[in-house]
Amino acid sequence: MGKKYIVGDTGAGYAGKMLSMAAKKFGLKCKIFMGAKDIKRQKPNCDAMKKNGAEIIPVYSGSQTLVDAVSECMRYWVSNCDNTHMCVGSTVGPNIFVKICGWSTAQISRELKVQLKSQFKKIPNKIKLINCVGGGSSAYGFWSEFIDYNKKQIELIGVEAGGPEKSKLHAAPLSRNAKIGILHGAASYLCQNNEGQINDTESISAGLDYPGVSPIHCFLKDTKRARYTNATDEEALDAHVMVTKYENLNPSLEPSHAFAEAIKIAPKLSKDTIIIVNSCGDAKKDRDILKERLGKK
Amino acid sequence: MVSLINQAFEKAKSEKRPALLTYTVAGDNTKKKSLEILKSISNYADICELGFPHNTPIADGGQIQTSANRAIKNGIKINDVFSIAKDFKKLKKTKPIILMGYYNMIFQYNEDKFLNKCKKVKVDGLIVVDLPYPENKKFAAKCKKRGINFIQLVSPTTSSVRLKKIIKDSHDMLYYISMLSTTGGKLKVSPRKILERYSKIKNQNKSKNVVIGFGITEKTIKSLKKADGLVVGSAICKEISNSIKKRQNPVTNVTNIVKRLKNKIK
Repeated sequence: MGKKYIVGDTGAGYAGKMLSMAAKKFGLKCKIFMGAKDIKRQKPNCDAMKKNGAEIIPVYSGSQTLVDAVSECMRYWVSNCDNTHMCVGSTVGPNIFVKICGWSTAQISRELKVQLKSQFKKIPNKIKLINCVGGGSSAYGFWSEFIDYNKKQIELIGVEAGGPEKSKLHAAPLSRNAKIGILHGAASYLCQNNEGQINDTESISAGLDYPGVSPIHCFLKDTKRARYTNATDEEALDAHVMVTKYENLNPSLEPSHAFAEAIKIAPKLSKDTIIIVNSCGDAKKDRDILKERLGKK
Repeated sequence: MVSLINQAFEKAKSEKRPALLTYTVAGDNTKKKSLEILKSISNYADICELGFPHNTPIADGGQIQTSANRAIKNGIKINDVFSIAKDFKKLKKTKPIILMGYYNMIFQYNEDKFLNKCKKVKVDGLIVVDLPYPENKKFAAKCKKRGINFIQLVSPTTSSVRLKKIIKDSHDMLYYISMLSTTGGKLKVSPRKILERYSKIKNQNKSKNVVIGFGITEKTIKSLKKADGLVVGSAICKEISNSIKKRQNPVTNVTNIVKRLKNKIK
Protein backbone atom coordinates (compact mmCIF):
# COMPACT_ATOMS: atom_id res chain seq x y z
CA MET A 1 0.00 0.00 0.00
CA GLY A 2 3.05 2.22 0.24
CA LYS A 3 2.06 3.66 3.60
CA LYS A 4 5.08 4.85 5.54
CA TYR A 5 3.61 5.53 8.96
CA ILE A 6 1.88 3.52 11.65
CA VAL A 7 -0.04 4.83 14.67
CA GLY A 8 -1.33 3.12 17.77
CA ASP A 9 -2.71 3.83 21.21
CA THR A 10 -1.43 2.58 24.51
CA GLY A 11 -2.41 2.68 28.17
CA ALA A 12 0.27 0.94 30.21
CA GLY A 13 2.66 1.25 27.32
CA TYR A 14 2.95 -2.43 26.33
CA ALA A 15 1.05 -2.16 23.08
CA GLY A 16 3.01 0.99 22.32
CA LYS A 17 6.30 -0.70 23.10
CA MET A 18 5.53 -3.74 20.95
CA LEU A 19 4.24 -1.62 18.08
CA SER A 20 7.33 0.57 18.20
CA MET A 21 9.49 -2.55 17.92
CA ALA A 22 7.49 -3.90 14.98
CA ALA A 23 7.57 -0.51 13.29
CA LYS A 24 11.33 -0.33 13.67
CA LYS A 25 11.71 -3.80 12.18
CA PHE A 26 9.60 -2.94 9.14
CA GLY A 27 10.97 0.55 8.65
CA LEU A 28 7.74 2.39 9.43
CA LYS A 29 7.64 5.70 11.27
CA CYS A 30 5.65 5.21 14.45
CA LYS A 31 3.47 7.52 16.52
CA ILE A 32 2.01 6.32 19.81
CA PHE A 33 -0.95 8.11 21.38
CA MET A 34 -0.92 8.01 25.15
CA GLY A 35 -2.89 9.84 27.83
CA ALA A 36 -0.83 12.48 29.63
CA LYS A 37 -1.68 10.85 32.98
CA ASP A 38 -0.40 7.50 31.70
CA ILE A 39 2.81 9.00 30.32
CA LYS A 40 3.53 10.21 33.81
CA ARG A 41 2.70 6.96 35.61
CA GLN A 42 4.30 4.55 33.11
CA LYS A 43 7.52 6.38 32.33
CA PRO A 44 9.80 3.33 31.89
CA ASN A 45 7.69 2.07 28.98
CA CYS A 46 7.72 5.53 27.42
CA ASP A 47 11.50 5.51 27.54
CA ALA A 48 11.49 2.14 25.78
CA MET A 49 9.19 3.40 23.03
CA LYS A 50 11.39 6.42 22.43
CA LYS A 51 14.44 4.18 22.30
CA ASN A 52 12.75 2.30 19.46
CA GLY A 53 12.38 5.56 17.60
CA ALA A 54 8.67 6.07 18.19
CA GLU A 55 7.17 9.47 18.82
CA ILE A 56 4.82 9.64 21.80
CA ILE A 57 1.87 11.99 21.33
CA PRO A 58 0.49 13.06 24.72
CA VAL A 59 -3.30 13.30 24.89
CA TYR A 60 -4.66 15.99 27.16
CA SER A 61 -8.39 15.65 26.50
CA GLY A 62 -10.88 14.07 28.92
CA SER A 63 -9.41 11.97 31.71
CA GLN A 64 -6.02 11.83 29.92
CA THR A 65 -6.02 8.02 29.97
CA LEU A 66 -6.47 5.14 27.53
CA VAL A 67 -9.98 6.01 26.34
CA ASP A 68 -8.78 9.44 25.26
CA ALA A 69 -5.68 7.98 23.64
CA VAL A 70 -7.83 5.62 21.54
CA SER A 71 -10.15 8.48 20.50
CA GLU A 72 -7.25 10.72 19.55
CA CYS A 73 -5.46 7.94 17.67
CA MET A 74 -8.63 7.26 15.65
CA ARG A 75 -9.01 10.97 14.92
CA TYR A 76 -5.43 11.12 13.70
CA TRP A 77 -5.88 8.04 11.57
CA VAL A 78 -9.05 9.19 9.78
CA SER A 79 -7.17 12.39 8.98
CA ASN A 80 -4.09 10.59 7.65
CA CYS A 81 -5.23 7.16 6.48
CA ASP A 82 -3.88 7.81 2.99
CA ASN A 83 -0.32 7.33 4.23
CA THR A 84 -0.76 5.81 7.69
CA HIS A 85 -1.71 2.43 9.12
CA MET A 86 -3.54 2.13 12.42
CA CYS A 87 -2.97 -0.64 14.92
CA VAL A 88 -5.44 -0.44 17.80
CA GLY A 89 -3.68 -1.40 21.03
CA SER A 90 -6.29 -3.85 22.27
CA THR A 91 -9.05 -6.11 20.96
CA VAL A 92 -11.39 -3.12 20.73
CA GLY A 93 -12.58 -0.83 17.94
CA PRO A 94 -14.09 -1.74 14.58
CA ASN A 95 -14.17 -5.44 13.63
CA ILE A 96 -10.93 -5.76 11.67
CA PHE A 97 -8.82 -4.11 14.36
CA VAL A 98 -10.16 -6.57 16.93
CA LYS A 99 -9.10 -9.41 14.64
CA ILE A 100 -5.63 -8.04 13.93
CA CYS A 101 -4.91 -7.55 17.62
CA GLY A 102 -6.47 -10.86 18.68
CA TRP A 103 -4.57 -12.83 16.07
CA SER A 104 -1.32 -11.26 17.26
CA THR A 105 -1.83 -11.83 20.97
CA ALA A 106 -3.06 -15.42 20.39
CA GLN A 107 0.54 -16.54 19.91
CA ILE A 108 0.86 -16.86 23.68
CA SER A 109 -1.91 -19.45 23.87
CA ARG A 110 -0.39 -21.40 21.00
CA GLU A 111 2.80 -21.54 23.04
CA LEU A 112 0.94 -22.37 26.24
CA LYS A 113 -0.64 -25.37 24.57
CA VAL A 114 2.76 -26.74 23.59
CA GLN A 115 4.08 -26.13 27.10
CA LEU A 116 1.09 -27.85 28.71
CA LYS A 117 1.59 -30.92 26.56
CA SER A 118 5.30 -31.12 27.35
CA GLN A 119 4.71 -30.61 31.08
CA PHE A 120 1.70 -32.91 31.54
CA LYS A 121 1.90 -35.11 28.40
CA LYS A 122 -1.67 -34.06 27.56
CA ILE A 123 -4.02 -31.17 28.31
CA PRO A 124 -4.92 -31.69 32.00
CA ASN A 125 -8.52 -32.32 33.10
CA LYS A 126 -8.98 -29.34 35.38
CA ILE A 127 -7.45 -26.04 34.42
CA LYS A 128 -8.25 -22.45 35.33
CA LEU A 129 -6.83 -19.81 33.03
CA ILE A 130 -6.81 -16.50 34.85
CA ASN A 131 -6.07 -13.25 33.08
CA CYS A 132 -6.64 -9.57 33.70
CA VAL A 133 -9.08 -7.81 31.37
CA GLY A 134 -8.94 -4.17 30.34
CA GLY A 135 -9.64 -3.98 26.62
CA GLY A 136 -9.07 -7.73 26.81
CA SER A 137 -6.30 -8.37 24.29
CA SER A 138 -4.07 -10.22 26.72
CA ALA A 139 -6.94 -12.41 27.98
CA TYR A 140 -8.17 -13.20 24.49
CA GLY A 141 -4.63 -14.06 23.42
CA PHE A 142 -4.14 -16.29 26.46
CA TRP A 143 -7.45 -18.12 25.96
CA SER A 144 -7.67 -18.27 22.19
CA GLU A 145 -6.60 -21.93 21.76
CA PHE A 146 -8.77 -23.08 24.66
CA ILE A 147 -12.11 -21.43 23.99
CA ASP A 148 -13.47 -24.55 22.24
CA TYR A 149 -12.69 -26.76 25.24
CA ASN A 150 -15.46 -27.66 27.69
CA LYS A 151 -15.59 -25.13 30.48
CA LYS A 152 -15.62 -27.94 33.05
CA GLN A 153 -12.16 -28.85 31.81
CA ILE A 154 -10.80 -25.39 31.15
CA GLU A 155 -12.41 -22.50 32.98
CA LEU A 156 -11.62 -19.02 31.69
CA ILE A 157 -11.57 -16.33 34.36
CA GLY A 158 -11.21 -12.67 33.48
CA VAL A 159 -10.35 -10.14 36.17
CA GLU A 160 -11.25 -6.51 35.60
CA ALA A 161 -10.08 -3.41 37.42
CA GLY A 162 -12.34 -2.75 40.41
CA GLY A 163 -10.71 0.61 41.11
CA PRO A 164 -9.86 1.97 44.55
CA GLU A 165 -11.80 0.40 47.42
CA LYS A 166 -13.24 3.71 48.51
CA SER A 167 -14.11 4.98 45.05
CA LYS A 168 -17.29 4.42 43.09
CA LEU A 169 -15.28 4.56 39.89
CA HIS A 170 -13.89 1.42 38.30
CA ALA A 171 -13.09 -0.04 34.87
CA ALA A 172 -15.11 -3.24 35.17
CA PRO A 173 -17.99 -3.14 32.67
CA LEU A 174 -18.35 -6.95 32.48
CA SER A 175 -18.36 -7.79 36.18
CA ARG A 176 -20.17 -4.70 37.42
CA ASN A 177 -23.18 -5.17 35.13
CA ALA A 178 -22.70 -2.20 32.81
CA LYS A 179 -25.18 -1.84 29.96
CA ILE A 180 -24.27 -2.34 26.32
CA GLY A 181 -23.18 0.81 24.55
CA ILE A 182 -21.30 1.96 21.47
CA LEU A 183 -17.79 3.35 21.73
CA HIS A 184 -14.89 3.53 19.28
CA GLY A 185 -16.83 1.85 16.51
CA ALA A 186 -18.08 -1.23 18.34
CA ALA A 187 -20.80 -2.32 20.73
CA SER A 188 -19.73 -3.65 24.11
CA TYR A 189 -20.59 -3.56 27.77
CA LEU A 190 -19.64 -0.05 28.67
CA CYS A 191 -19.20 2.16 31.75
CA GLN A 192 -21.62 4.95 30.93
CA ASN A 193 -24.44 7.02 32.38
CA ASN A 194 -28.09 6.69 31.35
CA GLU A 195 -27.66 9.46 28.74
CA GLY A 196 -24.97 7.45 26.97
CA GLN A 197 -22.07 9.65 28.07
CA ILE A 198 -18.94 7.62 28.75
CA ASN A 199 -18.09 7.47 32.45
CA ASP A 200 -14.74 8.32 33.92
CA THR A 201 -12.88 5.23 35.05
CA GLU A 202 -10.36 4.81 37.80
CA SER A 203 -7.72 2.15 38.30
CA ILE A 204 -4.21 1.94 39.67
CA SER A 205 -3.41 0.03 36.50
CA ALA A 206 -3.15 2.14 33.35
CA GLY A 207 -3.53 -0.90 31.10
CA LEU A 208 -6.94 -1.81 32.52
CA ASP A 209 -8.24 1.75 32.84
CA TYR A 210 -10.74 1.66 29.93
CA PRO A 211 -14.55 2.06 30.09
CA GLY A 212 -15.36 -0.49 27.37
CA VAL A 213 -14.14 -3.99 26.67
CA SER A 214 -13.60 -6.21 23.66
CA PRO A 215 -16.80 -7.43 21.96
CA ILE A 216 -15.19 -10.90 22.10
CA HIS A 217 -15.32 -10.84 25.89
CA CYS A 218 -18.93 -9.64 25.82
CA PHE A 219 -19.70 -12.69 23.72
CA LEU A 220 -17.81 -14.99 26.11
CA LYS A 221 -19.73 -13.46 29.02
CA ASP A 222 -23.13 -13.76 27.31
CA THR A 223 -22.50 -17.37 26.32
CA LYS A 224 -21.17 -18.03 29.84
CA ARG A 225 -17.97 -19.49 28.39
CA ALA A 226 -15.86 -17.19 30.54
CA ARG A 227 -16.45 -15.88 34.04
CA TYR A 228 -15.62 -12.27 34.85
CA THR A 229 -14.86 -10.73 38.18
CA ASN A 230 -12.81 -7.81 39.42
CA ALA A 231 -10.11 -6.96 41.92
CA THR A 232 -9.65 -3.61 43.63
CA ASP A 233 -6.47 -1.54 43.53
CA GLU A 234 -5.69 -2.67 47.07
CA GLU A 235 -6.23 -6.36 46.28
CA ALA A 236 -3.95 -6.06 43.27
CA LEU A 237 -1.25 -4.41 45.40
CA ASP A 238 -1.54 -7.14 48.05
CA ALA A 239 -1.29 -9.80 45.35
CA HIS A 240 1.79 -8.11 43.92
CA VAL A 241 3.42 -8.16 47.36
CA MET A 242 2.60 -11.82 47.94
CA VAL A 243 3.69 -13.01 44.50
CA THR A 244 7.00 -11.16 44.57
CA LYS A 245 7.64 -12.56 48.06
CA TYR A 246 7.07 -16.22 47.24
CA GLU A 247 7.75 -16.54 43.52
CA ASN A 248 10.55 -15.53 41.26
CA LEU A 249 8.17 -13.19 39.46
CA ASN A 250 7.59 -9.47 39.35
CA PRO A 251 4.09 -9.01 37.92
CA SER A 252 3.01 -5.49 36.96
CA LEU A 253 -0.22 -4.07 38.34
CA GLU A 254 -2.32 -5.44 35.46
CA PRO A 255 -1.63 -9.17 36.04
CA SER A 256 -1.57 -8.50 39.79
CA HIS A 257 -5.35 -8.23 39.40
CA ALA A 258 -5.36 -11.77 38.00
CA PHE A 259 -3.09 -13.02 40.77
CA ALA A 260 -5.48 -11.51 43.33
CA GLU A 261 -8.24 -13.77 41.99
CA ALA A 262 -5.93 -16.81 41.95
CA ILE A 263 -5.03 -16.18 45.59
CA LYS A 264 -8.71 -15.75 46.42
CA ILE A 265 -9.92 -19.02 44.87
CA ALA A 266 -6.89 -21.29 45.33
CA PRO A 267 -7.68 -22.45 48.90
CA LYS A 268 -11.08 -23.76 47.78
CA LEU A 269 -9.82 -25.81 44.85
CA SER A 270 -9.02 -29.52 44.66
CA LYS A 271 -5.35 -30.55 44.62
CA ASP A 272 -5.48 -31.69 41.01
CA THR A 273 -6.75 -28.36 39.70
CA ILE A 274 -4.15 -26.45 37.74
CA ILE A 275 -4.21 -22.67 37.91
CA ILE A 276 -2.40 -20.77 35.20
CA VAL A 277 -2.10 -17.02 35.59
CA ASN A 278 -0.81 -14.96 32.71
CA SER A 279 1.81 -12.68 34.21
CA CYS A 280 1.47 -10.42 31.21
CA GLY A 281 3.69 -7.58 32.32
CA ASP A 282 6.70 -6.71 34.40
CA ALA A 283 6.46 -4.33 37.36
CA LYS A 284 9.51 -2.35 36.30
CA LYS A 285 7.17 0.07 34.61
CA ASP A 286 5.18 0.50 37.84
CA ARG A 287 8.16 1.32 40.06
CA ASP A 288 6.96 4.86 40.81
CA ILE A 289 3.44 3.76 41.75
CA LEU A 290 4.73 0.86 43.86
CA LYS A 291 7.18 3.12 45.61
CA GLU A 292 4.42 5.55 46.42
CA ARG A 293 1.90 2.94 47.55
CA LEU A 294 4.19 0.39 49.21
CA GLY A 295 7.11 2.57 50.08
CA LYS A 296 9.61 0.17 48.63
CA LYS A 297 12.36 -0.10 46.02
CA MET B 1 -45.08 16.45 0.15
CA VAL B 2 -41.76 18.16 -0.40
CA SER B 3 -39.64 18.12 2.77
CA LEU B 4 -38.59 21.38 4.36
CA ILE B 5 -35.01 20.35 3.66
CA ASN B 6 -35.70 20.06 -0.07
CA GLN B 7 -37.61 23.33 -0.01
CA ALA B 8 -34.60 25.06 1.53
CA PHE B 9 -32.35 23.77 -1.27
CA GLU B 10 -34.89 24.83 -3.92
CA LYS B 11 -35.05 28.31 -2.49
CA ALA B 12 -31.26 28.63 -2.50
CA LYS B 13 -31.13 27.33 -6.07
CA SER B 14 -33.69 29.88 -7.18
CA GLU B 15 -31.38 32.53 -5.74
CA LYS B 16 -28.46 30.92 -7.61
CA ARG B 17 -26.41 30.19 -4.52
CA PRO B 18 -25.61 27.18 -2.35
CA ALA B 19 -27.62 26.61 0.79
CA LEU B 20 -25.85 27.63 3.97
CA LEU B 21 -25.92 25.08 6.76
CA THR B 22 -24.74 25.96 10.24
CA TYR B 23 -23.76 23.66 13.08
CA THR B 24 -24.00 24.64 16.71
CA VAL B 25 -24.02 22.52 19.84
CA ALA B 26 -27.20 22.47 21.91
CA GLY B 27 -26.49 23.98 25.31
CA ASP B 28 -23.37 25.85 24.21
CA ASN B 29 -22.70 27.87 26.16
CA THR B 30 -26.03 27.68 28.02
CA LYS B 31 -29.40 26.21 27.10
CA LYS B 32 -30.92 29.68 26.76
CA LYS B 33 -27.99 31.17 24.82
CA SER B 34 -27.84 28.27 22.38
CA LEU B 35 -31.53 28.79 21.52
CA GLU B 36 -30.92 32.51 21.07
CA ILE B 37 -27.96 31.79 18.80
CA LEU B 38 -30.04 29.35 16.79
CA LYS B 39 -32.92 31.79 16.38
CA SER B 40 -30.62 34.61 15.38
CA ILE B 41 -28.44 32.75 12.86
CA SER B 42 -31.45 31.11 11.25
CA ASN B 43 -32.22 34.50 9.70
CA TYR B 44 -29.23 33.86 7.45
CA ALA B 45 -28.74 30.10 7.47
CA ASP B 46 -30.96 27.92 5.26
CA ILE B 47 -30.71 24.79 7.39
CA CYS B 48 -29.64 24.59 11.03
CA GLU B 49 -27.77 21.61 12.38
CA LEU B 50 -28.01 21.22 16.13
CA GLY B 51 -25.53 18.93 17.84
CA PHE B 52 -26.46 16.82 20.84
CA PRO B 53 -23.21 16.80 22.75
CA HIS B 54 -21.29 13.61 23.51
CA ASN B 55 -18.23 13.42 25.74
CA THR B 56 -16.29 11.07 23.44
CA PRO B 57 -16.83 12.61 20.01
CA ILE B 58 -14.36 10.68 17.89
CA ALA B 59 -15.11 12.48 14.62
CA ASP B 60 -14.67 15.95 16.07
CA GLY B 61 -11.65 18.17 16.31
CA GLY B 62 -10.80 20.57 19.11
CA GLN B 63 -13.36 23.32 18.47
CA ILE B 64 -16.45 21.13 18.55
CA GLN B 65 -15.02 19.03 21.40
CA THR B 66 -14.70 22.23 23.42
CA SER B 67 -18.28 23.24 22.62
CA ALA B 68 -19.61 19.80 23.51
CA ASN B 69 -17.70 19.70 26.78
CA ARG B 70 -18.95 23.16 27.68
CA ALA B 71 -22.54 22.10 27.06
CA ILE B 72 -22.23 18.87 29.04
CA LYS B 73 -20.56 20.71 31.89
CA ASN B 74 -23.54 23.04 31.90
CA GLY B 75 -25.72 20.01 32.51
CA ILE B 76 -27.38 19.71 29.09
CA LYS B 77 -29.38 16.49 28.72
CA ILE B 78 -30.89 14.95 25.62
CA ASN B 79 -34.35 16.13 26.66
CA ASP B 80 -33.02 19.70 26.84
CA VAL B 81 -31.86 19.29 23.24
CA PHE B 82 -35.39 18.32 22.25
CA SER B 83 -36.85 21.27 24.12
CA ILE B 84 -34.44 23.67 22.35
CA ALA B 85 -35.45 22.18 19.00
CA LYS B 86 -39.12 22.42 19.95
CA ASP B 87 -38.91 26.07 21.01
CA PHE B 88 -36.99 26.87 17.85
CA LYS B 89 -39.52 25.21 15.57
CA LYS B 90 -42.40 26.97 17.30
CA LEU B 91 -40.95 30.27 16.14
CA LYS B 92 -39.43 29.18 12.84
CA LYS B 93 -41.93 26.70 11.48
CA THR B 94 -40.47 26.44 7.99
CA LYS B 95 -36.78 26.45 8.92
CA PRO B 96 -35.39 22.92 8.71
CA ILE B 97 -33.50 21.65 11.70
CA ILE B 98 -31.17 18.65 11.67
CA LEU B 99 -30.04 16.96 14.87
CA MET B 100 -26.50 15.65 14.77
CA GLY B 101 -24.64 13.42 17.18
CA TYR B 102 -23.31 10.02 18.15
CA TYR B 103 -25.27 6.79 18.11
CA ASN B 104 -24.75 5.68 21.70
CA MET B 105 -26.97 8.50 22.94
CA ILE B 106 -29.78 7.43 20.61
CA PHE B 107 -29.25 3.80 21.58
CA GLN B 108 -29.47 4.54 25.29
CA TYR B 109 -32.55 6.74 24.81
CA ASN B 110 -34.09 3.95 22.70
CA GLU B 111 -34.25 4.31 18.92
CA ASP B 112 -38.04 4.40 18.63
CA LYS B 113 -38.52 6.70 21.57
CA PHE B 114 -35.83 9.00 20.17
CA LEU B 115 -37.39 9.13 16.71
CA ASN B 116 -40.91 9.63 18.04
CA LYS B 117 -39.63 12.53 20.08
CA CYS B 118 -37.88 13.93 16.98
CA LYS B 119 -41.13 13.73 15.07
CA LYS B 120 -43.08 15.35 17.87
CA VAL B 121 -40.79 18.38 18.08
CA LYS B 122 -40.64 18.55 14.25
CA VAL B 123 -36.99 17.69 13.67
CA ASP B 124 -36.44 17.48 9.91
CA GLY B 125 -33.32 15.38 9.67
CA LEU B 126 -30.68 13.38 11.50
CA ILE B 127 -26.94 12.92 11.08
CA VAL B 128 -25.47 10.12 13.16
CA VAL B 129 -21.74 10.36 12.78
CA ASP B 130 -20.75 6.90 13.98
CA LEU B 131 -23.56 4.88 12.46
CA PRO B 132 -22.20 4.13 9.00
CA TYR B 133 -23.78 2.44 6.01
CA PRO B 134 -24.92 -0.38 5.92
CA GLU B 135 -25.25 -0.60 9.72
CA ASN B 136 -27.61 2.37 9.54
CA LYS B 137 -30.07 0.80 7.08
CA LYS B 138 -32.68 -0.21 9.65
CA PHE B 139 -32.42 3.06 11.52
CA ALA B 140 -32.63 5.07 8.28
CA ALA B 141 -35.79 3.16 7.34
CA LYS B 142 -37.31 3.99 10.72
CA CYS B 143 -36.51 7.66 10.09
CA LYS B 144 -38.13 7.57 6.67
CA LYS B 145 -41.28 6.05 8.10
CA ARG B 146 -41.64 9.08 10.34
CA GLY B 147 -40.85 11.59 7.60
CA ILE B 148 -37.41 12.35 9.03
CA ASN B 149 -34.48 12.66 6.66
CA PHE B 150 -31.57 10.37 7.52
CA ILE B 151 -28.47 11.96 6.08
CA GLN B 152 -25.80 9.60 4.82
CA LEU B 153 -22.14 10.58 4.94
CA VAL B 154 -19.67 9.94 2.14
CA SER B 155 -15.96 10.71 2.18
CA PRO B 156 -12.97 10.79 -0.17
CA THR B 157 -12.25 7.15 0.73
CA THR B 158 -15.75 5.88 -0.09
CA SER B 159 -15.35 3.39 -2.95
CA SER B 160 -17.45 3.82 -6.07
CA VAL B 161 -19.32 0.56 -5.44
CA ARG B 162 -20.16 1.67 -1.92
CA LEU B 163 -21.04 5.16 -3.09
CA LYS B 164 -23.64 3.76 -5.51
CA LYS B 165 -25.27 1.75 -2.74
CA ILE B 166 -25.27 4.65 -0.30
CA ILE B 167 -26.82 7.02 -2.83
CA LYS B 168 -29.47 4.45 -3.68
CA ASP B 169 -30.46 4.18 -0.03
CA SER B 170 -30.14 7.89 0.77
CA HIS B 171 -33.00 10.30 1.39
CA ASP B 172 -33.13 13.95 0.23
CA MET B 173 -29.64 14.96 1.22
CA LEU B 174 -26.09 13.60 1.24
CA TYR B 175 -23.18 14.94 3.24
CA TYR B 176 -19.80 14.89 1.51
CA ILE B 177 -16.81 15.11 3.84
CA SER B 178 -14.40 17.35 1.95
CA MET B 179 -11.17 15.67 3.00
CA LEU B 180 -9.58 13.11 5.30
CA SER B 181 -10.00 14.94 8.57
CA THR B 182 -11.96 15.39 11.75
CA THR B 183 -14.18 18.45 11.95
CA GLY B 184 -12.37 21.77 12.10
CA GLY B 185 -9.31 20.65 10.15
CA LYS B 186 -7.53 23.02 7.80
CA LEU B 187 -8.69 22.58 4.22
CA LYS B 188 -5.74 20.59 2.86
CA VAL B 189 -7.26 19.60 -0.48
CA SER B 190 -7.73 22.11 -3.29
CA PRO B 191 -11.31 23.31 -3.83
CA ARG B 192 -11.02 22.16 -7.45
CA LYS B 193 -10.30 18.61 -6.32
CA ILE B 194 -13.13 18.68 -3.80
CA LEU B 195 -15.60 19.92 -6.41
CA GLU B 196 -14.38 17.26 -8.84
CA ARG B 197 -15.27 14.54 -6.36
CA TYR B 198 -18.45 16.35 -5.47
CA SER B 199 -19.54 16.27 -9.13
CA LYS B 200 -18.91 12.53 -9.29
CA ILE B 201 -21.37 12.06 -6.45
CA LYS B 202 -23.84 14.62 -7.74
CA ASN B 203 -23.88 13.16 -11.25
CA GLN B 204 -25.02 9.78 -10.00
CA ASN B 205 -28.39 11.15 -9.00
CA LYS B 206 -29.08 14.81 -9.62
CA SER B 207 -32.22 14.78 -7.49
CA LYS B 208 -30.16 14.34 -4.31
CA ASN B 209 -28.87 17.45 -2.63
CA VAL B 210 -25.20 17.10 -1.83
CA VAL B 211 -23.63 19.33 0.78
CA ILE B 212 -19.93 19.70 1.53
CA GLY B 213 -18.64 20.01 5.07
CA PHE B 214 -15.37 19.92 7.09
CA GLY B 215 -12.77 22.67 6.78
CA ILE B 216 -15.19 25.35 5.60
CA THR B 217 -14.51 28.81 6.97
CA GLU B 218 -14.95 32.43 5.90
CA LYS B 219 -11.74 32.02 3.93
CA THR B 220 -12.68 28.87 2.02
CA ILE B 221 -16.45 29.06 1.57
CA LYS B 222 -16.46 31.08 -1.63
CA SER B 223 -14.28 28.62 -3.52
CA LEU B 224 -16.86 25.86 -3.03
CA LYS B 225 -20.02 27.76 -3.89
CA LYS B 226 -20.87 25.45 -6.79
CA ALA B 227 -22.12 22.84 -4.31
CA ASP B 228 -25.80 22.42 -3.38
CA GLY B 229 -24.97 23.34 0.17
CA LEU B 230 -22.07 24.14 2.48
CA VAL B 231 -21.79 23.35 6.17
CA VAL B 232 -19.93 25.52 8.65
CA GLY B 233 -19.49 24.17 12.18
CA SER B 234 -16.11 24.51 13.83
CA ALA B 235 -15.68 28.13 12.73
CA ILE B 236 -18.91 28.95 14.57
CA CYS B 237 -18.02 26.96 17.68
CA LYS B 238 -14.66 28.71 17.72
CA GLU B 239 -16.41 32.07 17.65
CA ILE B 240 -18.49 31.08 20.69
CA SER B 241 -15.28 30.15 22.53
CA ASN B 242 -13.67 33.45 21.55
CA SER B 243 -16.71 35.46 22.60
CA ILE B 244 -16.73 33.84 26.02
CA LYS B 245 -13.03 34.50 26.40
CA LYS B 246 -13.47 38.17 25.46
CA ARG B 247 -16.64 38.46 27.57
CA GLN B 248 -18.63 39.47 24.52
CA ASN B 249 -22.09 38.36 23.52
CA PRO B 250 -21.78 35.14 21.48
CA VAL B 251 -25.20 35.74 19.89
CA THR B 252 -24.08 38.93 18.19
CA ASN B 253 -20.64 37.62 17.21
CA VAL B 254 -21.89 34.33 15.82
CA THR B 255 -24.69 36.05 13.91
CA ASN B 256 -22.12 38.37 12.34
CA ILE B 257 -20.02 35.43 11.17
CA VAL B 258 -23.03 33.68 9.64
CA LYS B 259 -24.05 36.93 7.96
CA ARG B 260 -20.57 37.28 6.44
CA LEU B 261 -20.56 33.62 5.34
CA LYS B 262 -23.89 34.15 3.60
CA ASN B 263 -22.64 37.27 1.82
CA LYS B 264 -19.64 35.37 0.48
CA ILE B 265 -21.80 32.85 -1.37
CA LYS B 266 -24.46 35.19 -2.69
